[in-house]
Order: sequence, then structure tokens, then C-alpha cells
Amino acid sequence: MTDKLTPEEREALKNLPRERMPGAALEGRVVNAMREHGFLARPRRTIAVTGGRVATLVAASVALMIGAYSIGLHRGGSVPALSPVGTPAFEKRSTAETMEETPPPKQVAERPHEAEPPAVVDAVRKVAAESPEKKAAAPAAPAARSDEADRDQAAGRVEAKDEGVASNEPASPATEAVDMPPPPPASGAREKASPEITLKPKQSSEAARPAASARSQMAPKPPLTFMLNGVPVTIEAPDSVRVTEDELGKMLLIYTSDGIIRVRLGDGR
Amino acid sequence: MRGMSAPHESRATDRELVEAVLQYRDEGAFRALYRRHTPRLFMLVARLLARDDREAEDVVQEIWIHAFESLDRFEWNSSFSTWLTGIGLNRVRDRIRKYGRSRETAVEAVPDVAGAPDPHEVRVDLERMIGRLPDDERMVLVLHDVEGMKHREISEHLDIPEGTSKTHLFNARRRLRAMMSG
Repeated sequence: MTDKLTPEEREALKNLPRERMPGAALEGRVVNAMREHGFLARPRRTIAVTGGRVATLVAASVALMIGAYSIGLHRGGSVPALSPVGTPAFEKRSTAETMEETPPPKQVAERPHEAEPPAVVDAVRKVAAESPEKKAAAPAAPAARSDEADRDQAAGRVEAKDEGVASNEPASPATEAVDMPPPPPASGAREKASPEITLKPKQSSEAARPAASARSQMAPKPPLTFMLNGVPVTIEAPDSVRVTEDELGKMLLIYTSDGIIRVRLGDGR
Repeated sequence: MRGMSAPHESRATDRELVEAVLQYRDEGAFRALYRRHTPRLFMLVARLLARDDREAEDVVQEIWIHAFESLDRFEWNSSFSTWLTGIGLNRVRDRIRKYGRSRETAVEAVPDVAGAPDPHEVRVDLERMIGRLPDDERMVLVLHDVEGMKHREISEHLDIPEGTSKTHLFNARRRLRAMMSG
């Protein structure tokens, strides 16, 4: 007996199949095993887009929009979403507008946190002016109260410290001192002092200081003009300017959107 | 390579597909590799094990996992197919040793295929006869006479001396011939 294959035997072995597909499930098993070992990425979950799901999404979106609109109506009425850029809203208020809002200060003191931004107050005020019937309505009261709170707080500060001059009558363009509602708190205020600036109030502070109740009857303030190195300088928004006094003397405060500019005033000597 | 479509996958080389799997964990690339090599791998494993197909499928799964676990040691000096075959032989050898059987098939149990005119029947009967050989002899016979390996390669894969491989082949052919003539 030999171990050599006969041609027939060799042919028979050669004709044996070399390939055979395993069960179809094996590919899935192997792929899953590869995933479990971290060699393959996990398949992304896909959510089939069906008509029912689309309808649900649309309904939810509509409900969300209606809800947001209702909340907006309830809280802000027709208040514009944005106030004019670049000019603080409180600078634009006229005294006449201020007079329209005279709620009891006591309420403001109780709830100072309800104070709203001046831009919102202005917008509410404009709406109220357009429809006199709505002027007496309740929704305007909170805004007015908040503005009054600002003014009363300002008055308190002015009476305690302010040496500025508030005038009920139009002042000459040459000199004027102003009383104003307090500007919003300024962060990062810059201090700028210039001994060359001379500002001469027309009236003394004691004489010109109005009572808190009379302040609401002030006329619109004309532009403030003063001389700087012999050159007249006009401030068209006098509400942005205030004169205060400390132990070193008088100081001109100019409220800007970037902060407060402090100008130490000379005494003319 | 990532996100390649099926036609691209079929044209991609084994190395490109393997790199796509390693870099991007690209399932499509792996499936292309699987479909390209698994039929041959499965046939070899099933023939070597000579057991039910389910066990052969388990071994094939082990082969793929082990192949990607040890890919960093593969330097592409040989073909990916040869490398997979080597891994498969190791897994089969380990499994036979672990669950080894001493199967000495009785010659009388082998059906008589003499005079059978249908080549398909002859092939099926030959497969059954090979499956009834003892494990060591069957593995050497399959690798040598079916897969065309040399004794040196067989001795390396099965971790046996070349002389042992030749002895197993001699005995396997003798038994097979006896079965066929019996």
C-alpha cells in the first residue's frame, strides 16, 4: 500500500467545494460581536418619519407658539421688544410724560423689585397716551410705579448729597445746573478730572433745589451749555448730567452708556 | 473609505477595508471583508472540525474577533486570507484539543460508494468519509490534499513535526482508501 493518491482520488479531492456560506444569521452575530469588542461603531438610531409623528410635531409647535404669544400678551401687551439703541431710554422722557405716572410711592417702596426697564416704561406710556381710556387701566400702574420708584430713590440721593441745581424755569443757554432722575448704575465708571473746566451754576443749590413733590412739575430741560477752555460746550441731554459735591468740592457727573464721567469742577480761582 | 458604497467596497483591497475598519470602525467595510473571506473560512473550519455547522459558526466568529484583536501584529507580508486561515487553524486545533474526541470511525459504517455514478453523491460521500477520519489525520489530509499546503506549513500551523504530519497523511489516505473500497 502506498500513500500516493491515484489520479481519481486526487481528482475527487480536488473537486471538493472550497467555499460554503454559513447561515445568514452568522453575519449579524459576528457584526454584533465586533461592535461589542469596540471594533465597529454603534449604529445610529433612526426615527422613522411617519405622518402621525409629523402631525404631533406640528401640533406641539403650534401650541408652543400660541403659548408664547399668550404669555407675551399677558406680560408685555404691545410693548416693542427692543428699545432704540444707543440712547438710554430715561434720557428721552419728557417731564410731561413723567407727570402722567403718579402712583403712590408707598406701593413702590413695598415692591421695588418690580421696577421695569425704562424702555418698557416708555413704550407702555406711549400706548397709554394713544388710548386715553386705557390710561387709567391697571396694567400701566406697575410700570409707572417702577418709574416713580426710580425718581423717589433719586430724590433721596439728591437730597442727601446732591448739590446740583434743578430749575423749573428755562435757564439761559450759558449756564445751567440740572437735576435729573438717577441714571442706571454704571459699572466700571471712569473718572476724568479736568481743572480747566469751569461751570458756574446760575442758582445756588439751596435755592434751586425743588421739593420732591414739585419736581414732577418740571418743564422740559433745555440743553446745558458751559465753557470749556473758552469754547462753549452744549449737552443736549441735560438729564445725563448732574453736579454733586463732596469734601473736595463740586463735581460734574456725566452719565454715558459706558459709565459715569466725573469732572472735578474748578472754583474759578 | 468611510461610507463607501457597495461597489467601491467590492473593488477595495483587503488592506483598504481593514484600515477603514480600524480608522473609522466602518461596518460596511467589515461586512465586505466578511463576505469576501467567510465562505472559504467556514468551509475549511467545518471540514476540519467535522461537526455540526453551529460549532463551525462559533469558530468563525472567534476567528474574526481574534483577527482584529491581533491586527497590530499583522504586517501584510502575506495575504489577509492566509493570515485568517492561520488564525482559523489555531482556533480549530485548540478546540479539538479542548473538546477532543478520539474518533476512530468504523470502516463498516462508511457507505459503499463504489459504482456510484453521480459525482455529487461521490463528493458527499467523500466528505463524510473525511469527516470520519481521526482528528489529527483528517486535519493533515485536508490541509495537504484539499488546501494544498506543504508539510512544513502544516507542521507550523498545527505545531507538530513534519514527520508527524507525513505520518498522519499516510494513515489518513490509507483509511480513506479503505473506506472507499470497503
